[in-house]
Amino acid sequence: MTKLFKQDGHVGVIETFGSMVMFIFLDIMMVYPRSVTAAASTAAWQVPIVTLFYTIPFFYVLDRLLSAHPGKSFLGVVRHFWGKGIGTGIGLLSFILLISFVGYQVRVFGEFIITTILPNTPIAAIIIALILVMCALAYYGIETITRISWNVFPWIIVVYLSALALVIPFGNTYNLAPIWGNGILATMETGVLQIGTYKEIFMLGYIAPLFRQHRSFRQVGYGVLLFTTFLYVISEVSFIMVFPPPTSDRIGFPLYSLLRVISYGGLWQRLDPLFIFVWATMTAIGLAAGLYFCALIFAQTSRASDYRPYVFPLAVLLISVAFIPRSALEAVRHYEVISNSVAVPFFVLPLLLWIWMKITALLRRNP
Amino acid sequence: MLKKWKQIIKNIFTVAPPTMDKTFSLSPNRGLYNVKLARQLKQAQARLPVTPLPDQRSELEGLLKDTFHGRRNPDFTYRVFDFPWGNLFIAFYDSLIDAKMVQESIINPLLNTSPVDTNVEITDLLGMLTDCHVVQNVDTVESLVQYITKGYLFIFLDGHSQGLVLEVAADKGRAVETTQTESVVTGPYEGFVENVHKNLYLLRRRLASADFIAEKLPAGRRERGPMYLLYFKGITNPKLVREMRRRLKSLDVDAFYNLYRVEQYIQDNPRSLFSQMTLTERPDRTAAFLLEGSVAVLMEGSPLALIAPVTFWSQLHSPEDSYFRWPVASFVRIIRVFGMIVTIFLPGLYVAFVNFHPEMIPTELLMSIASSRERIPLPAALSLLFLEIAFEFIREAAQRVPKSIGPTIGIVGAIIIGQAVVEAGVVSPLSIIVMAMTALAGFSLPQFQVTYTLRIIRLGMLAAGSIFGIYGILLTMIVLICHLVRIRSFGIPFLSPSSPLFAKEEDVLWRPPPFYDEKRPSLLRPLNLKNQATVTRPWSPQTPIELSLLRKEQFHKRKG
Repeated sequence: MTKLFKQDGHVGVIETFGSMVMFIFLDIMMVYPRSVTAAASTAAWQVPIVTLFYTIPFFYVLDRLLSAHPGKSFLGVVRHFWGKGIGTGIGLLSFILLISFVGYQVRVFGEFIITTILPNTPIAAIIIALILVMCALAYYGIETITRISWNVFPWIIVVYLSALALVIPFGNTYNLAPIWGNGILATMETGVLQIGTYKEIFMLGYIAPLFRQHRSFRQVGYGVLLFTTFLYVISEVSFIMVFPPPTSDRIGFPLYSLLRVISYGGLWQRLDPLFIFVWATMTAIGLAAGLYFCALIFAQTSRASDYRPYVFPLAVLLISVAFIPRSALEAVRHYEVISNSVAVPFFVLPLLLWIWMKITALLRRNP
Repeated sequence: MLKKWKQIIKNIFTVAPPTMDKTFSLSPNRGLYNVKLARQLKQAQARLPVTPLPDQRSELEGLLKDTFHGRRNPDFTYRVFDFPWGNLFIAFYDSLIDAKMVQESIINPLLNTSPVDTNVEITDLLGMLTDCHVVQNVDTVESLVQYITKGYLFIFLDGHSQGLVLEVAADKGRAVETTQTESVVTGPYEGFVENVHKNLYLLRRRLASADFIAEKLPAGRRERGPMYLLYFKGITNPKLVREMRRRLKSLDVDAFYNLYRVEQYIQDNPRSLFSQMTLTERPDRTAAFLLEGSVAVLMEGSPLALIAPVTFWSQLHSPEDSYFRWPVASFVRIIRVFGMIVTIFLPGLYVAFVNFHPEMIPTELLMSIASSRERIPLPAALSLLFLEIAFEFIREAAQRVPKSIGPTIGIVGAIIIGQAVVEAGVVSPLSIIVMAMTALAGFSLPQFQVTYTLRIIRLGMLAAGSIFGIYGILLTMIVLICHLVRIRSFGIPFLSPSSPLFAKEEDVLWRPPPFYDEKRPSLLRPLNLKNQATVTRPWSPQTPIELSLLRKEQFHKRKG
């Protein structure tokens, strides 16, 4: 599938940047800070940098692959080299992995809302309300999602950074010591294991033909990786400063707990509902992007002419996945595993394809 | 009903055909679209019947009597004058013309300067009727009927297959007065009136340029009107003019009486809560939009100008912004945006905080709220809904009642809402404060159509906040933004220049100093982007002298 079927045809660079940052950065609000701190101790803030260092070459491979095949999406390139059958198989695999991941994200988000602001509301009501909004956004396509993102993204970032700035006086710089945590090797190992941190960036491969120029694709990709790493690092630093390991291992929703410590007199306290407002907005839009990518990948896999008829059925499927875990604890545990394990194919497949492309090019030159 | 619901469900699973060819865009990459429709319109206009005017007076008299139902319409008058040089027939609507003017400008000149020659042509009469302003030749029955119904007087000379129409209108309507809905402290006070020629006069006086075009177009099938399509040649993008003309010409409706109705027919998303055009009664505002590259429409009988394309942000701008000093203008714009946020979210957030998130309210305030709500049996959401409905009643009543008892409504409203409901324990004093703040914030917006729209959205936010707390409000907010990013005004995204981002646009929330605001909005893709010189203050010590030097060099270079 080389062409996507959207009304206006192109997506803006800055708008796509905003929406991709929101899609990737959802993890930081969930369990990422806790799990990374548990693994890398005081060096947890270095983990996103380590992950970034090996994500960049993989993204570079995807970038090269798509620039060699202008107008083709990642699945289009797969079909071009490996044929329709394998293309469909890879498409299905990507779809299943993504929908499982987004389904669990929906569940964890629902649990978070219940824990923090709506303790008496049934989780079904929360999830269904969210899914309906996601459906509307996904149905209208990536152009709408990116434009909505850009409307809220600057405010979200300002509020988020201000909240972190307000937290810092409650932390202690000594909590960051020892600076190498469990050791450089251990930190690097954790960085490698946190492979799922930036996996969403590979979704850009499926909308590559929607960029006006391939240069825009590259700008968005690297820009998102760098900016998200910055956000991850400062979030981790703030978290460790306030909740040093091993205290941090026992915190359910790390960033929420972090912002609850803000207290500057009578008025500037309990800012967590404001933070929830910001985070939930970001999550709803990020998850809508997730549903959109599910529908798009499925449409590309089945070689359908439009993704929109799949949005509503996939939303129903998403609800089913969200209710697979029997409890909140189980959902959070599974999510940690799924987040990293689903990422592996997204990294490996472009690399294999790129190697294949190089070998075939070499063989063609030297028959 | 069942069929409709079945269709709605079916629509979820099916897809409409691609709409790209139907979407208007000002982008130079996009060509004209839907040429078929334009061709059909031209063909339909070409098929309109054309009946030549009969050359015999008796035949024409019979024809007009039938057409205008002469017997039942005593208002319709026709007279025959037997001059030595021929039989003259005149026809008009008595109610639409000035009888004294007819006598002085038509009958008397013809009586006093009767030509001796008996072979007088209808065109010879033109030289005699110099007191009349509009003189047109008419040679078809259809155009004759149109002219008479619009208040013109028709003159026919027996034996000729054409006549003349003259303007001797009785009344030009009310005089130019101050605006009713867009009052300003600074700036001109003139507003449009129902007479389209006076409105054109108000605009032409401001835009003294031969490039200011006012194209005449019919308004509906009965050609009530006319409508005028206004634009600046050399500034406005021709694609935009063509599109507006096309949409106005496509109006296959019996008759239009008001531009509010026309707006609903021609806007891109007529089902939206938001109006994607601006209706203003201010000539200065219309002139400003025209100079930026927009198009405007005037219509006989409507004291407004319809302006397109506009963005959401321009609906938060007031004509006053141009007259205030730039820091003040920027400040009041920010206040208006804050007012908009308050009027949409405050009731919903109040209910959400009181019902779901009391922990967010500082303890002292929480205690105060709790004590004020102690005696109130109604939940917070219902209290606010009650106040909202009461407020709507007062607003509607104040609009409808005669002006002499208008203040009474205010007093009754103040007593009912301000005092009685609190004493009766129906709502808490805090709810009244919230509602009053909300209403005041709503009225701070310069476009009253926007205020109406936001009022409906506010009710939605109130409902969402009372069901899901701030979670509900944020989901509703996302849906609202989703709707706003999807609608367009003549091809321009409604939320631009913020989304999609046009970073170079400055005049959005921040009002740049006028001497730096040297470009027209690039969103409108005007033909001439610059509206003033780069250096407008060459005498100022702050202006680097090099700029003047460079400008001189550029001038000499141009001159060769």
